[in-house]
Amino acid sequence: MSIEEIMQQAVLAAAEYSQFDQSGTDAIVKAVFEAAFDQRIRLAKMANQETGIGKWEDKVIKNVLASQIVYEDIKDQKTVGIINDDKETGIVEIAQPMGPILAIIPVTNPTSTTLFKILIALKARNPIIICPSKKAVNCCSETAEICYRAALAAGAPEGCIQWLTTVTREQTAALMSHPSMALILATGGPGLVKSAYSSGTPAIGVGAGNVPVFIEASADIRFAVDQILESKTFDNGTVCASEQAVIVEKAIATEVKEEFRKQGAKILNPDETLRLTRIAVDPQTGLMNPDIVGKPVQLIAELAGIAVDDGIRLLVAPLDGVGSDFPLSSEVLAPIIGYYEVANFESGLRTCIRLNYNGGVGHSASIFSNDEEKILYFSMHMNAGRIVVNTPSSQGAVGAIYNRLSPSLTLGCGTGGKNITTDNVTAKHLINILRIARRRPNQRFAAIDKSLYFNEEVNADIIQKKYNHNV
Amino acid sequence: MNEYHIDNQKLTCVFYGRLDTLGSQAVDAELSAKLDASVQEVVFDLKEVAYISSSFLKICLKTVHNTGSNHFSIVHVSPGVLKVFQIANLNHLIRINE
Repeated sequence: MSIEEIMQQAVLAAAEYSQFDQSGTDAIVKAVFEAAFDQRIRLAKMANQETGIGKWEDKVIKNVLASQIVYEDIKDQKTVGIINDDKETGIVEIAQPMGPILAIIPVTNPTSTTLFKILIALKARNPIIICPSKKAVNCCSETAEICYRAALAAGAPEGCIQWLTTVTREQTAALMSHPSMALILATGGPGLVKSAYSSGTPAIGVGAGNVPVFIEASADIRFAVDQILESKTFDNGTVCASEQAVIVEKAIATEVKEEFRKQGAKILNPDETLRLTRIAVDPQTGLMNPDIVGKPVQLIAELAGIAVDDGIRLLVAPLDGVGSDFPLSSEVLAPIIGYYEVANFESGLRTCIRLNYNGGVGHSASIFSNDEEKILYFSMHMNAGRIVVNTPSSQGAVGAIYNRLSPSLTLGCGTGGKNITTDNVTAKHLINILRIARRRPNQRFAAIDKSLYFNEEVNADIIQKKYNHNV
Repeated sequence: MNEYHIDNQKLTCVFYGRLDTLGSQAVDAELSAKLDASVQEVVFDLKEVAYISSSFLKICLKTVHNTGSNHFSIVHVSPGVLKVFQIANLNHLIRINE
């Protein structure tokens, strides 16, 4: 189909879908969730085989998050008609769909992100067009088709889910800038997200991550190391919210390193760190080497010429600084983590701030601590949409597993990450909210002698005193 | 049951109820049988229609394509149905009268 045909189909689907009530919409979402959940394992294996990234077992968990956990989060949300009626303020909020949504799907989480975006788009009565990574076309197409068949069987409009089976830059650009496209859900690299924002169509993008995890002196060390390993080795480190560098106070450093070794991490020597740097980061661009993204430790170690035992799950690279002179201080989506030893809490916080602003502004940050004051102090100094506490950040930032954040595979990074929100994006972000404003006169404005506003001698305090004066 | 009246080379189609995908298939078949070379103008009367599917919108597009925009119109649309035509961006292609 041509771009025009795809868009016409989407616009007609949007028109029909706009007439659905809440129960009809919810029936479609439920049917899609159930069909997707049934295929979670097959789709995970497809994604792993096609992309060569990550672990299929962890991709099953991602598919569970994207289907079951997201469904349970959104199923009772009101997304049709009156969604709020406040008698006190006289404001009634009405939800209306946005229209066709273009979903850009990354190679790192192809089937799960496809499932997630389809569910939240349908919940908001929007048709969706799936634009997969070139390296994940088959698994994304299969995912979209499963969802589409289930949606149609539940009464959804024809064309409510469409997907591209061949992807070109020109085609993506044409879809992004099509006048009938209502919104772009852009999950991908910085270049792609920038293209979405530059297209003239409203976009919800995501920024890059560079998540610092601070093991503060009061933390339970064995627990912290266990959780960091669980997070950073999940799907071979492909989650953008995974920890990129661990920061440890000197007082507990020996114990932390010993615990890392015990639990399956290899702490590299300076020569090994240099070898790893050469294969992990492109020296020209400073960006991670795509060939090592989501690959197992053994393969990465072999490429770098580093000897590792079979049981090793994570490579820990001690670093002396942050920035372009230390390429591993930036985001690398693989089972590799930077390591910093710092004199004390304040020094550690400074390192976390530097890391946070070294390509990860607005994304996520993590702390292990049992000191509430320090947790708050740390949080106040981060620029991160989500600061997870005593939690594996991969699974914590995406929500609903370790905390009550909304489950999402699109993590807003705020203006620092060039995004419009710091929220975990979900169905509520895909509706237009209309507000009926009943007459509720502003009592102060009505009571004040309006001529006072024209008197330059009268300031705000005088106005307030006049209003409060008992006559 | 939908009604079809031909008067002086003008075909008026009066539709009823929900024009969902299934209902639209019936309309498509009925309309094909009624449209012949003698028909110069087509009018869809949607007074009794509360819901239209994308399939019905495609029938409208096909009809305007076959007859030309000056010879096809839709009448008696409810506010809800009018909004559906607006969302589908068909208001520029099809004459829609109250």
